[in-house]
Amino acid sequence: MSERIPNITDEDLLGFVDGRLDPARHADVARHLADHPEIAEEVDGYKDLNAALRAKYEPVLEEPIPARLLRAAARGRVPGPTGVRSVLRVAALVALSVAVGGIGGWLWRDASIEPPAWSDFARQAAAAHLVYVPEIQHPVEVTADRQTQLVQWLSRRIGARIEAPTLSDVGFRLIGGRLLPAGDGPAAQLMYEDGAGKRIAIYLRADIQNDREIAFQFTRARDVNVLYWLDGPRGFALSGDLNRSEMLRIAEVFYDELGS
Amino acid sequence: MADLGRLMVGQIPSLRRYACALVADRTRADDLVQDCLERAWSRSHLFHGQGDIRVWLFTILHNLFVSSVRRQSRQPVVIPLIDHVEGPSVHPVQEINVEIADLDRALGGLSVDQRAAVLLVGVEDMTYQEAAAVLAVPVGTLMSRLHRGRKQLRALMAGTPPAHLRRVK
Repeated sequence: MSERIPNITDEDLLGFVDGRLDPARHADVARHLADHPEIAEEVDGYKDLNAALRAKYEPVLEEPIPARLLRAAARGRVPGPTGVRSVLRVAALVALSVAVGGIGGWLWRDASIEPPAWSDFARQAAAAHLVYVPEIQHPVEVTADRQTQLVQWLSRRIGARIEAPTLSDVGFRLIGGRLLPAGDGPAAQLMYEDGAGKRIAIYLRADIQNDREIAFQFTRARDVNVLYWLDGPRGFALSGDLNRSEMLRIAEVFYDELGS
Repeated sequence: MADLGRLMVGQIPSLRRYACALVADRTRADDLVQDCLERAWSRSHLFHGQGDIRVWLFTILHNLFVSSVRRQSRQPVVIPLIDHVEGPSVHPVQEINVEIADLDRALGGLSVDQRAAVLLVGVEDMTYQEAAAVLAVPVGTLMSRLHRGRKQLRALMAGTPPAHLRRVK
């Protein structure tokens, strides 16, 4: 049966390559391509081109942000109390990152330098995420309705002050937390959930062998996005199925509450 | 007003990626991002929170890039050929490296307008409307630059072995 396909334009082909067509039109173009192998080849070439470009530049996203750029983002002055707070907040970020000169994260990638004790931290956080976040019956040990006890208990057990900040601005609410083993000591995990049931976790330890400050680092460990930072022996790792800018936004809230 | 500093920090990774692809030289790319953030603060009164921070920052960065290219007194854009394999002979073992070097060189062979269109849509995943807003052109113009840019890029890559465009990862 030969259906007539409405005229396929260059714009349609572009939209097809970039995945910007509505499903019906996408199907039209796909049928058109099946009949025209020479055009299909061109379209495949463009798709490969995009994939090659992405693969080439994607690694830039994973790099630690240079301190001078964080400083530039913090330099502005916004009038009013909110503005002052925001500047302070970014300034705190900058202070953290300046402390390592933005190179802390890079040093140990050099094969000649021994990876420090904290290089395992993100993986531990990812493992804790993978074990407890999908859990339906018992995702947490102590639920959010006993938040005060939860926070006091976890603070006492890991030996550092813990807060469970409100994340309602970004659409998440606390569901609770748990204590768990990490290496030779204890770790704490707080879990949050949004309206659609998506969960994120923050993982904390206070006994890491580290005497420096390590600014925000993105990594992907065992298929989970992890954004972590360290302040001496205290390590914080946010994990979840969110993109980098969402993670960064949430991490900054935690940083304000926990990291200083 | 939204917390502008925080919003800006969130955009830094992709601004760096875009700048890097535009100018290849890493230090210059970060200079461009830094100028962009400073310029954004000096014009923060023009940003009203509701607007798309990404489009706004990319527009500033792009304009800075275009004027820096102009300032270089109409000299052709410098394209670093680091790791580029000289001469016509290509060893199959080095295919991947050749591929990357060629991609860099080929991108440098596009006009600034075409390069921007190809990168904003193909790498930054912007919609045609967003990319057109960044470049301050109608959507139709953006699409034709995109089309011509990709065609040109493929042609520039065509001298390499047939596997040259297979996925790098």
